[in-house]
Amino acid sequence: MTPFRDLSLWRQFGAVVLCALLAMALVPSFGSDFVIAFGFQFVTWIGLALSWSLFSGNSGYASFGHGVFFGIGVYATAAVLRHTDAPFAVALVVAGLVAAALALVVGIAVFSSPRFAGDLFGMITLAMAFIVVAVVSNLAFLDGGTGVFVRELAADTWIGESTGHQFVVGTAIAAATAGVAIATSTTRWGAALRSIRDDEAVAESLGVPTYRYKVLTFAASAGLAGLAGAPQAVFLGYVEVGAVFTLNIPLLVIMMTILGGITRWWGPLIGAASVVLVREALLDIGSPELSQIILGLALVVVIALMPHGISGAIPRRRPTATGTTTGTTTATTATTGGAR
Amino acid sequence: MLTTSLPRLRGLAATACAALVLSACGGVVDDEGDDNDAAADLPDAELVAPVAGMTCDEGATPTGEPIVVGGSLSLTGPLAPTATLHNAVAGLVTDWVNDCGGLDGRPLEWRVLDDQSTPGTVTSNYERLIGDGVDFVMGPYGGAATLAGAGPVSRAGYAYPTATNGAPDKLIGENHFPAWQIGGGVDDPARMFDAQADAVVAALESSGNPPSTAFFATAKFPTTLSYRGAVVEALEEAGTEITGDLEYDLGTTDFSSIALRIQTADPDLVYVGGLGADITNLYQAFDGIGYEPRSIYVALPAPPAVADLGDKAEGMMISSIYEHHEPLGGSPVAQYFAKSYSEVAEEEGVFPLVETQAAAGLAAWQILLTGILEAGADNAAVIEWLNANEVETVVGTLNFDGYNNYGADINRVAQVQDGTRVLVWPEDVSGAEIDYNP
Repeated sequence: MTPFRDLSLWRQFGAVVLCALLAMALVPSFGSDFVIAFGFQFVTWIGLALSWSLFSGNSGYASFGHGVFFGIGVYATAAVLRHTDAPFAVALVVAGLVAAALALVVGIAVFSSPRFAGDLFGMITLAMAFIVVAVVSNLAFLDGGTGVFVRELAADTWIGESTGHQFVVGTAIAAATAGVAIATSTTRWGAALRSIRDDEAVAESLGVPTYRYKVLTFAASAGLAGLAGAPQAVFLGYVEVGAVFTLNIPLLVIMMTILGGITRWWGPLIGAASVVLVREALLDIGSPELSQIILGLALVVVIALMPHGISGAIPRRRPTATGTTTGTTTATTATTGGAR
Repeated sequence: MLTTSLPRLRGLAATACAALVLSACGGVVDDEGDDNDAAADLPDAELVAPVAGMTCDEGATPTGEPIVVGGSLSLTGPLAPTATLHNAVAGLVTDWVNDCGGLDGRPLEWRVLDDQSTPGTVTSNYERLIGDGVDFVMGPYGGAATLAGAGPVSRAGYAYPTATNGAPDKLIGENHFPAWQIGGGVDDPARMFDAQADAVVAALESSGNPPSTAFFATAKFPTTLSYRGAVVEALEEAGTEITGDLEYDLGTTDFSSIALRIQTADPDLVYVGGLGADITNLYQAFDGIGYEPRSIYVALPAPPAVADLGDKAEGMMISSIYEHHEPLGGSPVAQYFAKSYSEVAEEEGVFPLVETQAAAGLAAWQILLTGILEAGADNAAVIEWLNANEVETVVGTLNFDGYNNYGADINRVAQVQDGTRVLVWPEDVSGAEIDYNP
């Protein structure tokens, strides 16, 4: 069966679209201002975790540069709103394209040599972050070190009108990212990426065009992170280099993804949702240091007890000879199976 | 070929978790040493009402529904060392008001949420606080956080007092009541740092020996860059030649190349547009090359960083709005605050002596409390009253006229003299004359 004739695939697409539409209809209409603002952050983190996992989770190339692509999206949006009269939709597209273009350039250069595989790739993405921060800090067109007041620029636009509109855009981006994640779970694209994670040399010997898959997926992953940065620029209202390019973003994204698990496409979604909800719940205990320690230690424990993340600990439904389904854990699917 | 295997990805996640835990542990700078001794020497002070017009009924227990003030502060993350100080001030003021019998007899309650130094979380924190029905809010620490919080606070019609907003040119609205009036006396949004720059130049000129040459080294940070731009312009206008002007990345610790450039230029005045411990690191670099600057001005140093320099800090000039001495420090409110703050700060592990940040923190609370006392526990009424009146605070009399409600010019210059920080400009609040002869 070809992937696109797979009914379960379409059911998953349908579920994501339905959930997103419901959220877009209900949250801005009936949610309090806090629920809408929190919801926006919630979907933004989900989008970031899913987009990181799209490349890094599937291929095993751990990138520390995801926060940079997100930040580029933020600053590209700020620049479009600041220097042109273009509507937000244009800024959104530019945000995604600029982030994807940077990843494409980096990917073409880095993946051309096997020397940059493994940990060195992570170091390169980290170095990329420092370079981008230096460029943004020095170019007055983007920031120049003084920050950009986006709220003023977006005040008379649809996106700037309310947090509800930002939530709608953020949810649409997260849903689109989930759609891409679903696609990689069953298509040849995803299988190729996972074969790179399992053993790149073997994958190549079997004829998988690993270079092309890595470059294009890295760009797609970055582009989606860039898109997520566009409404974030308006949500923040004022963007400055220190706050936008903080190392906390890629660290949290990695943590969320591994917590949720990468053996199923929805693992990062569960991981992001768990971390965001627990962080918010811990705000009430009255000790910020303690809550952060609790969160960090809890995550370490969960990761230790569930080596394949939360999603990996949930039994899969598999057909039996009689046509019924049985539960089984996914310990063996990490190296062989798809991210479903 | 090597890619990152699943166990290694999990290792990465564990490292990320560890980073999170460590960031929580590293939030507060513990200040032990001479400053604690200086704080212990502060005279005992009598309990007085924290704001004018309030009576202090010591021993009376407040009753009724509490007046809840909510705020978002960076209690963890990179902004924590200073934000923790503002939380200490908030807790102190709350206890202070309740020790005096409450606000119109009602208890005051402080509710703080940690934003982890992330502006996005500041926004949702204020949405949450407002959704939970807090009666009033207090602004967060820092320009980006202040502007992130302004959206929900303004939309909900709440008064927005702020202690330190380093982005004075970004318009918040008529509900904004800044204690540190960086843009005081300036109407043009593009020139909001002129008042600070004028204070620097006036202080130097008051010595009779203004600098002929100046070298600028500035951290890449919105407030310090804007401030530097205004000071360069003002000094050039006053006839000072700028012999060097460089920027460095926020978080720089190795200042050796900058120190060498300064040594080569050997200017009359070194202007350090630095934050936090930049000045400590710069002096380490000076020590390494055996150079002693003729004179030095620091924009926004962390108080412990200046104190820890010891004798090297002698003669150093610093941006300020308050130092604890006469006339500002002579009031009963200032005396009580200084003594109480030193005790609270010691418990919290923050710098125990009152200077600009702590004073701005108290002033922001004085603004809010005065508004509530005069107009009642209603945000619209408080906003209206504050816009029409002046407020007596520990940093002086504030009004909220002008662009972004930056009314009065309270930009001042402090200098370290005989190991103590003292205001040297302007004359009406100074505790000593400037000692400047590069």
